[in-house]
Amino acid sequence: MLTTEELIDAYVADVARLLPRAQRADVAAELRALLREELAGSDDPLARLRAFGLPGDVAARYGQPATVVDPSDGRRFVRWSVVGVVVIWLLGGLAATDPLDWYRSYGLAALWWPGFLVVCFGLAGFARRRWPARFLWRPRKSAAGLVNRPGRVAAFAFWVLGTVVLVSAAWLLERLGAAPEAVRALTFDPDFVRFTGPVVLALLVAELALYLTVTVHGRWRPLTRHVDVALGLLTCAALIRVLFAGPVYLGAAADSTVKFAIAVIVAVSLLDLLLKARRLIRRPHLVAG
Amino acid sequence: MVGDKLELELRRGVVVLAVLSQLREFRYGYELRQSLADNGLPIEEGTLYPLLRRLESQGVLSSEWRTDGQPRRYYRLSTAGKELYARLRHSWSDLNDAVRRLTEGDD
Repeated sequence: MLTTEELIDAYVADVARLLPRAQRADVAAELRALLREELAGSDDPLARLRAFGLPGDVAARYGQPATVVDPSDGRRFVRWSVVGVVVIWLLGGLAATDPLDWYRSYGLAALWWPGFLVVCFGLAGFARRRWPARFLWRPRKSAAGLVNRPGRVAAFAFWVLGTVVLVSAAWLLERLGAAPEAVRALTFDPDFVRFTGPVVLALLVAELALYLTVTVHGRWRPLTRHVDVALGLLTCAALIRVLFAGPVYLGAAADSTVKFAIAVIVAVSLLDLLLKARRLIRRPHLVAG
Repeated sequence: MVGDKLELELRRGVVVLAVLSQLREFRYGYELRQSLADNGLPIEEGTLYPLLRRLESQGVLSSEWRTDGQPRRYYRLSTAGKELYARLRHSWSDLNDAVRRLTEGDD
C-alpha cells in the first residue's frame, strides 16, 4: 500500500515523462506542490488522483500534444488503412502458395501499408499547417457531379485503343513480325473465344458506351450512376467467371499473368462498386441532378 | 449524456475569463481554485492547473516561485493579460446581452 506522498510521486512522474523535456522539472515541482494540498487529509488519495485524470490526458492539457495524423484525417486514415490491408491480404491469398507463405509474404508484410499512410498523412498535415494559404478549400467539379470533358475524351481514346490491342494482340504481334511462340502465347484459347470472350467484350463495349455518354452529358445523372453500378457488377461477375473457366490464352505464362491482373481489377472494382452503391443508397440526394 | 457534454462546453468557454478575473493579484493554483469554487464556479484541478501554465506560456500570465514556507508558484495577469481581460469582459458583456435578448420570454 503506497502512502499519499508515494502516490503523488508516482503520478507526477507519469505526467512529467510525457511532457516536453524543457517543461518537465518545473511542471513536476508545481504539480507535486498542488497535489499535496489537494490530497491533504483525503481518505482516498488514489481516487482523488484518478479523478484528476489519466496522466496522458493531463500532460496533453499542459501543452499542445504532438499529433502525427491530424484528427480531421483520423477517420479517412483508419478507412484507408483497413481497406488497403484487406486488399493486400486478398491479393496475397490469390498469389501465395500455402498459408505459411501467405502469412510470411502478405499477412505481416501488409502492415507496411498503414506505416506508409502515417508518413503520407503526417507530411500532408505538416504541409497544411506550414503553408495554410496553399491549402485553401477549392470547389471540385467532380464533387458537384461534373466531369472533365477533355480529360475524359483522352481517356476514352486510351481505353478504346487498349481494348483493340487486348482483343487483337496475337494478330498485331504477327503483323509486327514477332516470333511464332510469342504470337501463340497471346492467342486466345478457342473455348474462351466461343463462350466467355464475347460476353466480356460486349460488357467492355457497354462500359465504353456509358463512359462516352457521361462525357457527352458533361455530368453524372441518376440513371447513368445506376447503370454504372449495374454494369460494373455484371462485368465483375463475368471477369470472375473468366478466372475459373479455363485458360484465356494458349501460353501458360501469359494466362497466369492476365488472370492475376484480372483478379486485381476485380478486387479494386468491387471495392469501388461497394462505395458507389453505398453512396447511392445512403445519400440519393447527393447523386441526383 | 449529451446535455452534460454541452453544458461542459458552455462552461469551458467562460473558464478563461473567470480565471483572469481572479488574477489581478498574485495567487497560486489551489488558492485560485478555492476562490472560483467559493464564487460558484468549481473547476476540476486537472483542467485548471494545466490552463494556468498554458496561459503563462502564451504571455497572458506571469508567475514566480515563492519559497517562504511551502514552495508554490504564484500567477497574476501580465500587461498583455490585463488588456486581454478587458477585451474578454467586453465580449462577455455583449454576448450576455445578446443571449438574454434571444432567450427573453422563454421561461
